[in-house]
Parts: sequence; structure tokens; C-alpha cells
Amino acid sequence: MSTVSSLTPAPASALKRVFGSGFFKRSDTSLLVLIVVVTAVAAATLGDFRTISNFSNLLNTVALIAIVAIGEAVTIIARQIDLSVGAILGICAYLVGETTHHISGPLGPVVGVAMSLALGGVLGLGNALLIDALKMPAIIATLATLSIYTGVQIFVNNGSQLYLTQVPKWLSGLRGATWFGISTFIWVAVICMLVVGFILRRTRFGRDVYALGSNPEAAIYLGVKVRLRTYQLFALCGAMAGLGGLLYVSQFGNVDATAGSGMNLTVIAAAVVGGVSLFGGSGNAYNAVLGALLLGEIQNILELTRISVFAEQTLQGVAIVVAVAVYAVVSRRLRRPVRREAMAVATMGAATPLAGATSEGGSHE
Amino acid sequence: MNRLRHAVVRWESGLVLLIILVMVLGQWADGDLLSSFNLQTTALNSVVLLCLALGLAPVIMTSDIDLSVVGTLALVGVVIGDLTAHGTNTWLAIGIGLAISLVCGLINGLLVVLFDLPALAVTLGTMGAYTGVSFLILKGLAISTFPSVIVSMGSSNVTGTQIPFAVVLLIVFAAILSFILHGTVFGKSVFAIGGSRKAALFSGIAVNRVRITTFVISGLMAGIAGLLFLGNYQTAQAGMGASELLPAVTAVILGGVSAYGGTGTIPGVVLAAALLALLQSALGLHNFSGEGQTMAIGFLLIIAIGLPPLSQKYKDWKRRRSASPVTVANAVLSSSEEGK
Amino acid sequence: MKNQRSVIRAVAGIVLATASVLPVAIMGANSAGASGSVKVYMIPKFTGIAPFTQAAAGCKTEGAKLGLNCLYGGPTTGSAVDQVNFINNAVAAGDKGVLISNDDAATTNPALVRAEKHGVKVVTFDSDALPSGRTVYVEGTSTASIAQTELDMLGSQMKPAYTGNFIILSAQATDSNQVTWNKQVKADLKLMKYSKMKLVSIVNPPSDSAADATSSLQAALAANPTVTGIISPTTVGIAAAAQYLTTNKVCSKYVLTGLGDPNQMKPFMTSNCVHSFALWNFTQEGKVAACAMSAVLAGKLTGKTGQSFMCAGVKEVVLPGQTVSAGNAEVFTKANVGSAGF
Repeated sequence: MSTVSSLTPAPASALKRVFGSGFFKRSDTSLLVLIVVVTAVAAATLGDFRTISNFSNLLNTVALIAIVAIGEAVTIIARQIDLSVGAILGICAYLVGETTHHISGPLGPVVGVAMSLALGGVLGLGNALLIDALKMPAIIATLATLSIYTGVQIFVNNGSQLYLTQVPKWLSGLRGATWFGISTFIWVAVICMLVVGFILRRTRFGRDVYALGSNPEAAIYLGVKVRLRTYQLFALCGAMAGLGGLLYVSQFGNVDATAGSGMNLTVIAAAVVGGVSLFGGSGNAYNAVLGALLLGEIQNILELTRISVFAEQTLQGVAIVVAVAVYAVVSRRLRRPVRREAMAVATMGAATPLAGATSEGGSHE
Repeated sequence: MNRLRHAVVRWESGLVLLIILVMVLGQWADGDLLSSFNLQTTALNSVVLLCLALGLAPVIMTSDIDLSVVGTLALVGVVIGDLTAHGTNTWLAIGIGLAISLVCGLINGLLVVLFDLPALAVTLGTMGAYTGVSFLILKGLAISTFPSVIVSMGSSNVTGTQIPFAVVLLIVFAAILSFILHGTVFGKSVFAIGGSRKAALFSGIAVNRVRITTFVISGLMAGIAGLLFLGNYQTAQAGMGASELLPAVTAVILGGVSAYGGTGTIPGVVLAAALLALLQSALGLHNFSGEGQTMAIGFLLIIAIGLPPLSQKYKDWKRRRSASPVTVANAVLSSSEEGK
Repeated sequence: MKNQRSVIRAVAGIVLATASVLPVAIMGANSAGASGSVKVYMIPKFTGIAPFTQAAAGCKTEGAKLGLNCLYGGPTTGSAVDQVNFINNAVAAGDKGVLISNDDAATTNPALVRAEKHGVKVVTFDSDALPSGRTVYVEGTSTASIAQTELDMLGSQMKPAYTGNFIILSAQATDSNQVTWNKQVKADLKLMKYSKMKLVSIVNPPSDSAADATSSLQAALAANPTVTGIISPTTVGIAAAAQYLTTNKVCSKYVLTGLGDPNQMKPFMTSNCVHSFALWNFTQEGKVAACAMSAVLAGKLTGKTGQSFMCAGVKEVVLPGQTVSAGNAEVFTKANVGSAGF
């Protein structure tokens, strides 16, 4: 897919960067087209869809998911995964809300944002520690941390919850506030998308993430500091989840021990449907946003057409499978020559410490 | 068989020691761990866990993974419950349910193997899809009346004894699976594929067929787990059993199956499942909160994966210290034999 | 380099191993209590929301006076299957009594019956089980008064009064107390007074989380555009609904009422989004449950209609259906929400 392009220096012009290799351009534009079509059809046929309140609700909900999905996308690009984002979000939501309660004045928002990013980052580092120091596969490591962090979340909530009255005004008002006519949530999501997108495309860290995802063995030979990058990318993912937690407080007011539960599948589905390949090595922040938007829209349409509220999980599950299958089939046509090379490297080289995520051979330590 | 004997001496004896330790400590701390009532309920609770773990083990041994087992469990449970609630013949309903479990496993197998998609991604998706379908069927409702056949299968004892029938059934399954994996060519293929898929392919093993079969086995065991769940708890609810995924994976890893595939034994998995059930029971008796118990399992999983590399490092260090040419040569030979 | 890595790994392993023991030890223990007192176990629908924490506190304080050691614990989500495990554990641990608020009466029944067979006494509170599985049911307040209060609060705020369509934003479809209350509301609607009010839909979110309640509400309101009223008989639901109406600035379009936690609802009353809601004192409910359990364990209470027992100086009487009412519902308005006292 973008194996070749990820190992070459980033092209100069921004346009060329966005519409990189041929395949990339095709899949993202087609997704955008799909979203436009779906929106148009829904707006035309469903009266409830085209109301301003529905749109604003939809976009705000999507924004929250998109932010966490952007972080998840970073891990998926590196051929890892993080199942614990929901719990990280929940812990941060409660603790940040609780802490900023005691801080007044303009220092409040600063501390709030900084704390949510930092706390989320630290929790993400916990994931990376297990994967690096104990050489656990990401799926199992984050499965374990999911249960541990959920337990911590419940412990932290201490049988009660964070009440709206304890949430500082600036935070509770964030949801309804607008900057230049656009909801703050959307602004935050866009800023995250641009920042993380920039990090992925233009920094050494970003290039290493793509290298790790495309071909972990080759990445080692190329001098990528695998261990450092692992810690960094999980910290980034955790930080995004933490930021999502801050917005969660604003959206729901009350924070109890169920905050963020059930979000894990949604976030992964959003990233995958949006074009981040679970094979690793391709995708960007805007893919996560597009995916969140499309899935959110479809969910909204299902609700409005009175198809069961219970269709959500089925939708996400099927979406993941279909997206993976489609991208695999399409990418295989472009990838074949590169894959043979990679296979040769794999049989010669060292281990892939990531069980279950690779499709090329089962080489192990 | 040699591998079996070899492994039994190592990892599994550690598990047996741990089980005895938990029993002694738990009994001393609470005094009720080993009462027949508690052992019975613990055994029944562990049945679902063990069933899932037995199905997961071959999949992980081939260095794949199957997250969708709890989705299959829920779907089969809901289908059987719904059918019997509407008057369908019990055995027919069970047959349909198990057939569905085979299909679920087959879908996983085909997608992962024939389409060559990453198992993680596919089974994450199918987990959502299968659970989702169970929600579509039953919405938020629960079914609580079941034919007595199902209830006795899941919760009654073998006539005249205090041993639950389901436990006996599971032991039989474990024995069969153990024979398949440790005593047949198919089993050898499973380990070979886990060791190195490429090498297995070049050795002429029908890699695709074996991998698909492991997914089908995992689906079938998940379906049986769903059926036993119905009998034990006498409830069918969409999304049931979702909390069993982590314990099942932990049981497999704790049982000595390497997360990267290629090694492990079924007796190990059985012992690990028993240990987990005992541990959960001991914690529950000691008034550990629900989340405390789940966290304990999470930590146990981490230790289970982290310990082998650490113990290997320790063994290597010890050997290096007492290095004479003979010892070193022996060390080299035995470490290559051990594999991991 | 390699040595460094293995040292790091060894240290990490030791840290994790120690770290694994500490939190688990801290987090778990719940068992301290006066020696010589009788152990009973209280199981909520799920831990984590104030009403159940308050009920547990009430049970502890009142129970201590009666020689009961009231332990508390339950599942983290509203799963009846998990409650079964807690029931079994309580029986195995030798507890003499179980107090439970059921997630699903049918599911917990086999375990409760088995418990009773083992000599363990069962008293239900807040959400009843099947009669065969318990001796007495302590309700927060009577179903009849809950239903009437809800309809009155809603009807009086409707324009024109007592006229219009409404929905009930409930909890999981299996919650026995929700099912009972909603059934009573439906029956009451046949009364002359409420004849012009129409219940259009009962909404059951897939779980007891704010997120699910919100999205279910959104879907229901979109699907039923003629609705002007919302009754939410769950503290999670009414808070989520109030938040939803506030952020979408449609407070004036809907009348929202139901059963709410005063602490949660205060800001919504100040903003005039919600004008009234009701609740009863869960601490009181816990106390009465403890008293009932004590009486049952002493053999003085068997659930027969007309029996009575004393609780903190108040005489409690058993009503038909082995039911004891812990008190009355209190209607909260802007005036008194601050002084809720619980």
C-alpha cells in the first residue's frame, strides 16, 4: 500500500502528501463520496435527519468518538492495537472533572486539558510497558489492562459519581459553546486531526510508526528505535483517550463508573472503516475522523428509521470485517511484489512480537 | 507424546502446586472454600470458562486468535433459548444451536485463512457481529424458563454423586481434545503451524485445512459453552457471557500455551481453568469486590505471560554461572529442545 | 545491551508482581466487622450509584444496632448472572442472610431458592424476586404511590393540564421494579383523571449507562414527534434526559419528571429544566431492610399479611404480597431540593 512511500522522505507539497500514492487517493476520496451520498440521501428522505438539532447532536457525538479513534488509529498503523481506551477515557473523565472542580479561574481549562492528556498518556504507557518489557502481544496486553483499568475506574468512582454540580462551569458549558459558529467539540476534533496528522506525516516519529506497521523486521534493520516508539505511540493513544474523557464530562455532565464502557469496539470500527488498515502501515488521522463520521451517520439513520437500537454492535462488527476484507483485497493487488520481498526478509530475520496481527507467516521467537 | 511428558513435568506441576496453595490458603482464610456446596458451584461456574478455553487453545496454538467465542456463546444461547421458548423440540433446538456455532467458526476460519485476513481483526469484527445478532433477536429481554433437559445438563449432578454432570462432560471433552492434539498427526500439524507457518507449509502440511478446523473447533466449543451456560444460570440474555473472554484467554495462557503459538498442553489448560475458578471463588468468599476479582485475573494474565521469559532468563543465567564445557553443551542442546 | 534489557525485564516483572498483589489486596477487603455479630450480605443491582451506596450505609448502621454485620457487594453492571455468583458466595461463606435488589427476578430465583434450602434467609429490597425465593420484600415506597406521583407530576405540568403524549425512559427490560412500576402506570392511565394522557412508548436502553440512555432517548423522541412528556423512573435515566434536553436547548418543549437523585438534579432545577421529581430515602430503605432481616432471622417475621416489627422506633406492617413499605416518596421542587438530607 504505502510501504514504499512511507520509507521515502515526505514529499514537499501538502496536496501531494494528502493524495499520496494512487491507491490511497482512491480509497479516501471514495469514502468521502460515500459519506456525501449517504448524507444527501438521508437528508432528502428523512425529515428528522435534516434538522439542525439532529446534525449538531450527530457531529458532537461523532467528534468525541473521532478524537479517541485518532489515537487508536496511531496504534493500528503501527500494527498494534489498544483495547483499553474506553477505560482510560473513563478514569480521566472522573479524575479530571474531580480535580478541576477545585481550581478556579483561567487556570482551570489549562489544568484540565493538560491533566487529561498527561493522565491518559501515563495509562497508555502502562500498555506499552507490558508490550515492551514482557513482550506480550498487544491484543492480550490491552485485554489485561482493560480489566485492570476498569477496576481502577470503579475504585476511583468509589461507589458514587461525579455530579454535574461539581463540574466547573467552563467544562459543563463547553458542549454548547461555539467558536465562530462551530461547536467547540468539532474544533477540538479538527485540531487533533491536524496535529496528529502532522505528527504522523512530518516527524521522524510518524515515519517510524509507518515503518513499524509496514514491516517490523525491516524497521529494526533501518535503525528505528522500536522500543522508544512503542512507548510513544501508546502514550499518544492514551492521551487522545484522556482528552476524550475531558469532553465526555462536558457532554454527559455526570460521570459514573460506566463512562467509556463499550466504546472500544466503536473506536476501532471507526478507524478501520475510515481506511486505517489493520495490516498496519497505512492510514492517517483523517481516516479515523471519516470513519467515525460514516459510522455515526449510519447509526443515526438506523435510530431514526426505528430499526432497533440494538443494531449498533452488529453494525460495527460487520463494518470491521467488511472494511478489512475490502482493503485486503484491494491492497493485495498493489502489494504483491513488495510482499514477496517482505516475506523473504521475514524468513531470514528476527521475530515479530505481535501474534495474530500479521498475515505473513507465523515466524516467532 | 514426548512433548507432553516433558511439559507435564514443568509448567503443569507448577499449576498443580498453585492449586494446592490456593486451596490451603483459601480454606485457612475462610474455611468454606472446600465445602461441597462451594466446590459444586465453583465447578459449575468453571465449566463455561473451561469450555471456551478448550476451544481457544488449538487456535492460539496455531498462532491465531479468536475473540469471537463469547459472541458465538451469546448467539447460540439466545437462539436455543428463543427456540425452546417458542415450543421447538428441545433436541432440535440444541441441534440448530450447535449447527450455528459450527457456522460461526467456519465463517471465522474462511475469512482468516482463505482471505488471508488478520485473525485479530476478523474475530474482533465477528465478535461484535455475533453478539449484535443476539441483541437483535432478543433485544433487552431475558428468557428464564428452559426444558428440564437443558437445566439438568447444566446444573445437576451425576445420579447418586455430588459431581455435576457438566464437569464430567467437560473432562470427557478435554480428554478427547487432548488425544487429538497430543496423539494424532492433526495435533502435530497444529503445533508445527504455530511454530512456523512457512516451515509447516513447506513440509507438506495442509495448513489451510488445519487452521480452518481449529476455528471450527473453537466455534463449536463456544456453542457448547452457551448451552451449558443456559443450564447453569437458567437465563438467556443478549450479550451473555461477555465477561468470560478475559478469563478464557487467561486460562489458555496460564495453562502454558504460548501466546505466539507452537507450544502448550490441554491438561495445562484444564488445570489453569480450575486454578482460576478456585481463585475467583476464594476471592469472592473473602469479599473481594467484582472489579477486584476481574483485576486479579488481569494481573494473573500479565504474570502468566511475563513469567516464562523471566524464568528462562534465570535458568540461562544459572547455567552460565556454572559453565563448564559439558554443562554449556548440555544447556545448548536442552534449550533448543525446549523451544521456548 | 542485552544484559541491560534482561535486567529491565526482570525489574519490570518484579514490580508488576508486587503491584499485582497490593491493589488487589487493598481493593478487595470488605469483611471487617464486629465479632460475634451475625453476617448478612447485601447485593445491589449494581454497585456505583448513590441510591445503593446509601442503602448499604443504612443497613450497616441499623444492622449494627441489631447485632447484624451487614456486608455489601455486587456486580459492576446490572447482570443478574453475576448476582447469582454473589448469592452463591454468600451462602458458601456461611452468611446467615442475603438482602438483594434483583436485576432479573427469574434469573436469581434458582440461586435464592437454593440459598433458602441451605437455611439462609432472603429479604429483597428495591427490586423484588419471585415469591418462592424470599421471605419478605422491602419496597422503597408503594408501587401505587410511585405510579400516581409520576403521573401527577407529569400531568400537572402539561399544557393543557393532564393532556398529551408521553414516553417512559426506563432501564433494562428485565429490571423487576421497573417492570412493576410501568405496569402500574399503564393501569392507572385508565382512570378518569389521566384519560387524556397517552403512553406512546416504554424505552428500554440496552444498559444502565448514561450514554445508552441518551441515545435511546434521542431515538425515541425522533420516532415520536408528538410526545410532550417524559417520565424516567431511574436516576440514571432522568439525569441523562435532563442533560440531553439542556444541551439541545429543548427544555421548554418537553416536560421531564420521574425518580431522581437530588444531588444529580439540583443544577437542572436551578436552570428550570426540570420542575419536579420524586424519590424516597434509600438510607431509610436500607435500615428497614436490616430490621426486617433481623426479625426474619429471629423467626418473628414470616411474611404473613398483618405481621409487624419495630424499626428505629417505627412500627412496620406487612402488606399483602409479603411486602413492607419503607416510607413515602418525597416530591422535590426547586424549593426543597437543596435540603434533601440524602
